[in-house]
Amino acid sequence: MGIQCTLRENELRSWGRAIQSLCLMGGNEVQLQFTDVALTLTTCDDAISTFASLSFNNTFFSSYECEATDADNLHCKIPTKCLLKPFRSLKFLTKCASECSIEFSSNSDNLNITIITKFGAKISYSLHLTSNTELLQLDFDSNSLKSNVTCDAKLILGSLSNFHEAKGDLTLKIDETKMSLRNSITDLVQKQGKVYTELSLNAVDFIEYTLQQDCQVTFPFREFKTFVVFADTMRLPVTLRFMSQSTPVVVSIIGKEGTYEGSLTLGNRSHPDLVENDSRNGNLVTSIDAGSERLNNGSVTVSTTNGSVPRVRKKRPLLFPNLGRVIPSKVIPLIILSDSEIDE
Amino acid sequence: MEQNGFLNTQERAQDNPGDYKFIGIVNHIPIIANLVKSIAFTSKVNVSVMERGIMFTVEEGKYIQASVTVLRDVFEKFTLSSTDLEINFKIPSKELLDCLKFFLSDSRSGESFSTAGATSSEVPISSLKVMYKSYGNPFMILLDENGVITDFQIKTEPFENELMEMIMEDSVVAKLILTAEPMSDLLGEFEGSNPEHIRISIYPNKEIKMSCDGVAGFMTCVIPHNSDIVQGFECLVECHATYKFQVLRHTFKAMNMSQTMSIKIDSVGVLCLTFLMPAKTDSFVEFYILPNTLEDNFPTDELEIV
Repeated sequence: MGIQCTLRENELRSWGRAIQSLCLMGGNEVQLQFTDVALTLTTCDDAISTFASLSFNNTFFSSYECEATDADNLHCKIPTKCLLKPFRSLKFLTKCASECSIEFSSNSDNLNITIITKFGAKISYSLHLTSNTELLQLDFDSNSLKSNVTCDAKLILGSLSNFHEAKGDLTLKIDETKMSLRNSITDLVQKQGKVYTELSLNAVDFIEYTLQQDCQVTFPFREFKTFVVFADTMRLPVTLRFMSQSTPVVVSIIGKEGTYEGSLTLGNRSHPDLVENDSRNGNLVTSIDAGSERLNNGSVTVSTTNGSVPRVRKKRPLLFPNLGRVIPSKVIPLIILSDSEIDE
Repeated sequence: MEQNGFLNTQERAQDNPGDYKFIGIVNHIPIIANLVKSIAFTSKVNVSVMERGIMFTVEEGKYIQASVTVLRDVFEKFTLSSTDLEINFKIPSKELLDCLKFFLSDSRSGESFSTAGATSSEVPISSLKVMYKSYGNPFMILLDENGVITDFQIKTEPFENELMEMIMEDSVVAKLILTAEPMSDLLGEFEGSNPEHIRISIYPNKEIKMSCDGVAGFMTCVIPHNSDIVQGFECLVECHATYKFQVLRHTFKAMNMSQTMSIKIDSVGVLCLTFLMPAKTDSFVEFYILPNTLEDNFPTDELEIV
């Protein structure tokens, strides 16, 4: 099974921006999943607090030939730094590149990317894949989040530019009339105290403003801003979905003519009991089955496909719980080890 | 205000112009400053003053030799004593660049810090006068900016005679002439991979191929002989050679400033890159790079013809 797809000059810039943004939002690996209808890139940070996904329909590409169906699970994982190399320079892609082709075969250890320039030169990359072949998927339905707001990305980006630094967390507080964005960072100049920044947006400025109930959610600032910057460069509206303090926040965009979709699922840090990641407060967990349930204190399980028998382990509360479940295509779960467990 | 303030001013009161073996006055300071900067990757630079102009030469680790030739036509005044065919000395690069730093720039347009943002009426009128008296005396640079004269004296050392002789004209097996800017863009993509070595292969009537093996994987760049950026392509036999990428990187500054470049490889793999600078100066920068002696650990099945 394999795939070969081609991007022309017009799509190449969007693709380059998408890759760069995805690499900024995630961790060390990017997963590429190929089906006959779409190419999906996903990445998850090490703390499993953010899960970014970009899905490009076959109509986005100038040509798209894929032998795999959805059931075939044709996918690969590649280190973020490797995937970034051909698309590192937007200036080069805009100025020199006229076409880019991506090839992958299920029996290959490499992802092949070829860029053809406007003056006839050809640059070929044969990028090594990681040995980790587990398929990562987010098992969470964003439609279950009943509150959603939609606005131009420029509106949010303009608001975020008023914040001193895109670090730490951003709190979103929303009611019927307005949405407030708020954060606090340590005063870096005097090394004491905090700088609180709060900005409000009126409900009338939004394209859509559907609220099930007033709520307050807190999520990572940097990844959120990266996604909004990407949406702004693509000139797309941004939709935020949320419901309560115990559910994730999902930020999504839909490309022009529906040729691509992007979503960023952010762990909600609003749980009052969870302030720091402290393995000494780990809870005992019992009998984890396939399709593991969310635990009462909102911690998260990550499942892999290595076939190990689930064991009882101490669990550490994660910094950003309630992300949902991240499960593989196969269902034997493991619990994240605490630091003391890892040292054993 | 006279543009060439030095032409009519008195020399230093205690000196006789006849005491100096070489006196030169030049107005194109930013371009010359950037030319010197493009090869200033070593601590010392050899200076040779000849009938045809001034040549600055550097050499690093017996792997690379670079030279900048500023032709005498660039100078407003170029006086070489009748008793000397050639004057040679060595000076530190850093001090030379410090003298010229206000005229240095990083952009292809050559806009310098001293002129950036200035309107035509605000651009300072600058002249540079260089003088050398004799062996053991400092290399003197007088900078005149709108009547304000800054005097630099750089201590000289004996000229380094052990420079490698990169004679290759008779044994050149491949010669290409290309537009420099796209070549600079292509080699910039290799920088992302940060490879240790880069292999250059030239195939007669076909293409030039550059490839490297980095941490991320294998990367290849192929330029066909009939590409828009190739102005001339001569290749007698198929040739391959591998070079240290860190050494090749020294050429990037000159490549960024140049409009046209040539690539020559001789029968033993010595690479000669020549960069022709904008027409204002008619100067050129030349690099000679020796190939790696060992071809191991490089994933290729091509035969190497020496």
